[in-house]
Amino acid sequence: MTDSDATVRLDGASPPTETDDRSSVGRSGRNWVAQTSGFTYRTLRDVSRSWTVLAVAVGLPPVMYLLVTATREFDPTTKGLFAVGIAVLGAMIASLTVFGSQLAVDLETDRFAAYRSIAVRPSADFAGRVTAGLVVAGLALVFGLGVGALDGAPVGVTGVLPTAVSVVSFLGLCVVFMAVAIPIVVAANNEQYAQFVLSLVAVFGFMLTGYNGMLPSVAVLDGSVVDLLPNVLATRTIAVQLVTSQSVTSVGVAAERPRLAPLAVYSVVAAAFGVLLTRWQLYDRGIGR
Amino acid sequence: MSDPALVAESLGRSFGDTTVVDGIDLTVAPGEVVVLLGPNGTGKSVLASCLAGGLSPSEGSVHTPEGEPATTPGAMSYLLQDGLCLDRLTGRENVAFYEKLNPSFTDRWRTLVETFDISGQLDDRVDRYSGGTRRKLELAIALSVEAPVYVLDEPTAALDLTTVREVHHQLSRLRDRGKAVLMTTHLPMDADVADRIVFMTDAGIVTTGTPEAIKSSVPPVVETSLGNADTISDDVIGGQLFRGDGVVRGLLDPTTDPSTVTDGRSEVRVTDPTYADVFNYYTHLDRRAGDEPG
Repeated sequence: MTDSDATVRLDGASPPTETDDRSSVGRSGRNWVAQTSGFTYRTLRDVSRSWTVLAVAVGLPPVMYLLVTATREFDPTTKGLFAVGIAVLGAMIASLTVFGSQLAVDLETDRFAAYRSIAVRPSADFAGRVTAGLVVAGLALVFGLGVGALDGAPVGVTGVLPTAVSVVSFLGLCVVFMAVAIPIVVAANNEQYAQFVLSLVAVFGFMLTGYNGMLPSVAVLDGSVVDLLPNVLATRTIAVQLVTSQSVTSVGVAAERPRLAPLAVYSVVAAAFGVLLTRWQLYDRGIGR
Repeated sequence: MSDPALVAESLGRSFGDTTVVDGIDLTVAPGEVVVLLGPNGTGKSVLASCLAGGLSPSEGSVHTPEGEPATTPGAMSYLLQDGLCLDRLTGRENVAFYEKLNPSFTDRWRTLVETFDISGQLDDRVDRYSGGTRRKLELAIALSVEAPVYVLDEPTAALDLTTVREVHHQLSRLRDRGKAVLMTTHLPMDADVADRIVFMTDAGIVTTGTPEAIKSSVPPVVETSLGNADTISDDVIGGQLFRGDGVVRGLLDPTTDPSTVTDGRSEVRVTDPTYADVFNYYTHLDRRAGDEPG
């Protein structure tokens, strides 16, 4: 192959026309999709070889669940709620650490200088990492629920609508936590330190809210605050849909309340916040890095 | 000469209260290889990053015919020093990543990995690579981009002599195809590939010109064996001698007549400066900032 044979995708500098404008938009869109998929693929490859991230995100929460249920007696409904709370904890850890660990490596090596020179779109970067985080978080959630189900917790899928509502809640929760990861990673500026702090954020979020709002009696935070937090909103929504015990509706946490709407607001704000943070803190070349 | 492909005007970059580069004016024309030569720690990498759009200047401006760098995807290829590849991925996976990021990425990397003799290691994780192999992979990635401007930060660092020559050949091919190339280095031998040398020290750009002009701006060299070092120390600038292969060399003091240096001293000779002498002169001896030989 000669140099001139190599595929060239740069365009010439001919005067723009309306057709050019349309093709420019199309080309820009294709670049965005390619960059997004690049970050997704790379993050998943990287995480698949990072046993510490996988062990903490996917393995640790089910181990915690089994330790607790082996040493304490729960009624079936409480056991189901606890299983959902723990499974969502896994999704929270995965969201934070999968999104954050590679971000930290990129920051440590100043690789964003290369991304900036390529004119990578910050929204494509954010979306690519979020997509990869969702894949691992979904795995952690399903694995956590599966362990609970195998242990006898009354959790399961009862229809399309409950599944769809659970998926939407899960997506909203993950986007919020991934946006939260950005300032933490920027402050840590070190992969190991960032992983440690991000895992702590998830575990503290779980404990302070009474196992993601599943057992409010053990929550450290005031109940009125707990009710408003995104991890609690998402976990309670999922619990109502997936805990199959007949008596779940009689439990206070499962009472009918609008949860999806505030969660949607959280996630939309978090997505916008995440893109802006990615631009300001990672791609803005004016920062004093 | 055609319009410059890359222009920096009064470029400065500070980090907090520390100014790393200040008042830099620099151009690179299409079909020109500019070698930014200088010792470690003088801000060459920061300057390269500003030129490539990796860092924004604190002062001054950088522009290309397309506008500011890093505003058009694929308009620039930037070789980041030791930071392009992710350790836990294989070489092939790293290539695939940049192929997706950069719309100007070509399949030229297939030829380059053969040329650099790393095709057999593409499926190994990068954290198992030697420093040289890693550099070759990063070069293959950077040179696979079809861009009008290439900014390469120390592309020959950690490479063996044969590969350095191959890199020079690759840069010459870019020049032949009308590309603008700027590379930073602290290795004098990289001057071999230069159309123009820009020499940078703590004081900023101290001289710039063609290789011939740069060499002619440096005094002749006095050379003798290691054991005779004392006999020439009075004839060289500042009495400062530099070790070579079994010899010591110094830059002839402008007040000394070259013909008197060798009189009666068979082991002493006066020669033309090499790029290593040029490097020593501008790094250790010359403080004439702004001296431009042409």
